[in-house]
Amino acid sequence: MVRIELVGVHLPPGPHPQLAERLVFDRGGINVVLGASASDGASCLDVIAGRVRPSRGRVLFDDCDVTRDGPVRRNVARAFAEPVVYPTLSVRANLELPLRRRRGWRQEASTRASDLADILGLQGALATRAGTLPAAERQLVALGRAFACADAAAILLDDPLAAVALPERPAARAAIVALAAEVRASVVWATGDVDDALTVAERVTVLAQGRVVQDGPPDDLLSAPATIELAAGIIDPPMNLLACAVQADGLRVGAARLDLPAIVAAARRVEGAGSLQLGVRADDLRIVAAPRATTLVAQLHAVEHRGAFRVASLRTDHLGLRVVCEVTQQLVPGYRYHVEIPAEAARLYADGVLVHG
Amino acid sequence: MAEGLGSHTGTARRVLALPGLLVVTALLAVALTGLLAPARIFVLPVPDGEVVPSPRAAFDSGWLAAFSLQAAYTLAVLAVELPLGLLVALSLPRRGVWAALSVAMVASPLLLPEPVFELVRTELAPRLVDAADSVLGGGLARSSVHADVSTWFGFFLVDVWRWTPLVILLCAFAVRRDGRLAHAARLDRLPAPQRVRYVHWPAAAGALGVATALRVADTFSAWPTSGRGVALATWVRTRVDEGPAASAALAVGVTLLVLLFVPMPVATDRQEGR
Repeated sequence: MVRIELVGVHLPPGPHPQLAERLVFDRGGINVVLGASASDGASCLDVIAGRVRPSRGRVLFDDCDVTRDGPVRRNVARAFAEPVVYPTLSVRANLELPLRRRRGWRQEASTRASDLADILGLQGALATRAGTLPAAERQLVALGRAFACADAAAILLDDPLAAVALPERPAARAAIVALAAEVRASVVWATGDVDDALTVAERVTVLAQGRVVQDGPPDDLLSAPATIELAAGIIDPPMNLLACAVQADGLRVGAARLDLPAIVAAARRVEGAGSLQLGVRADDLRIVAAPRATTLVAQLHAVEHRGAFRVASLRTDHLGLRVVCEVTQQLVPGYRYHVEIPAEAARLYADGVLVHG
Repeated sequence: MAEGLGSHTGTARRVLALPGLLVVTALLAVALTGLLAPARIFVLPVPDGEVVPSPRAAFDSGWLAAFSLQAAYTLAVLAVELPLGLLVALSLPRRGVWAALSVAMVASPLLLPEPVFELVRTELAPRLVDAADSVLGGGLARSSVHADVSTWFGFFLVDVWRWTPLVILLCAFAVRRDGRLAHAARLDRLPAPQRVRYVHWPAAAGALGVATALRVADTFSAWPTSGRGVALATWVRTRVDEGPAASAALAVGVTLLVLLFVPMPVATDRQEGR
């Protein structure tokens, strides 16, 4: 396994010439590149795999410059969004081929192919020609091929669940996590699917238009999204974003005054910013019985049932609020409720960028 | 672990491959040609340069010899054009200005006027054969008109030069569609022959099937006009009113196209697993 670093990489002419100023993928584990578009992550993998040679910048494997090396010397394996298999070969031959070409040991390759088939649920298809399988199973074969060589430097997965039907994705994710756990390679998984990123990643790098928007553990992405676009897009229900202003008496949200000194201090540090927004996740807000220093009064106007919980939609001073509630909580549409914003859950965004939280 | 994934595999059906369908189509076309040809067959003696078509009985002793000659010629053309087309297609540049330029250069023989090919056939090919003849010390047999080595060689040279670009273009577009598999094969460290076998050949098989059908139809389309082999048939084309024989050739072509369009979508759908 290697630590992969892309430094100042510029791509050949295209919509986003600069990939990112600096991108780092840790040794081992699953690093997810969450792109706003499919091309963001795919471009990144193309550069790592040596399929696309950057016009500027460097690709480093463990601080060793491999920018000019071809795909073979980099010792990487890859699965694509579309199932890429050798169509005329059997599933077993597909799974054996990468290992046999690298090591030449037929017995080891055969054993490894059987192990992979067990993990991926392909035991019954080992003798089947890969080209005749449905797309979802061909993709499993492609994933097996990518993970066949346990000692590859890196395994690159380019939106690998795109071809898998939604109901089968959790099982496929679990299979990939199991495969990743048993190899010694660094896994880089490019996707546009937030669920993939949040459920499998040990580290998430969010790319947008060739820029790293956020980089860190998935928990950070959930609790403190770096931009309001992420806050609105990756969490369900979306984070509440409330326009706010700092006045002499403290923080104002609509007509209400909130006692959030840390937010006020942060807002004063970015004085002059065009817009300030208070961000609070829906599951951090609480409906309480009595007013407090950090409560808003809001009128309930709809309740959405989500199985184990409910999402209450409220309005206060033309601002919408969504609150996650327990199914046992009494909620009456039209009533006014006190909604508490816990100080530790409050985030402040200035001009759309996280400045506190 | 991951139970339920890949559970249906027992139901995956082996399907008739697209190349197989196309070969069957080509054979059908050939058979049809053989059936249509006797409808109106001309004997085309060339005593002193004048062509005098005259009716004759179908399936006489010369018919089988002419058919065999025609089939051998077609096979020879295919044996050169298909591998050459695939190899050139694989070596064409894939990005940038050179990709477009190379396609334009490759396609150019398809646009050349007929007199250019006539010139090669009548002037260049005999001289090449003469040169080879002198090198071999007069070892090349030169007998009757339609068996004449230089005539056959001329047709062969022109056919390969003119129509290999078609095979190249068909293969080029087919193999370019599968750039990811080619990339994966490189990552798997497959040597070039295995990449051709496992990646490019399956990708180009459909295109090669189409090329085979078209080339067989093309070379055989001349055959019904004479029943005496491609060289003579093509040679006399511009000199005689082909009439019903040309209609027969046209019927073969149309039938072939219909046959091609019916199996192709079926085979493609099955291969996609839909």
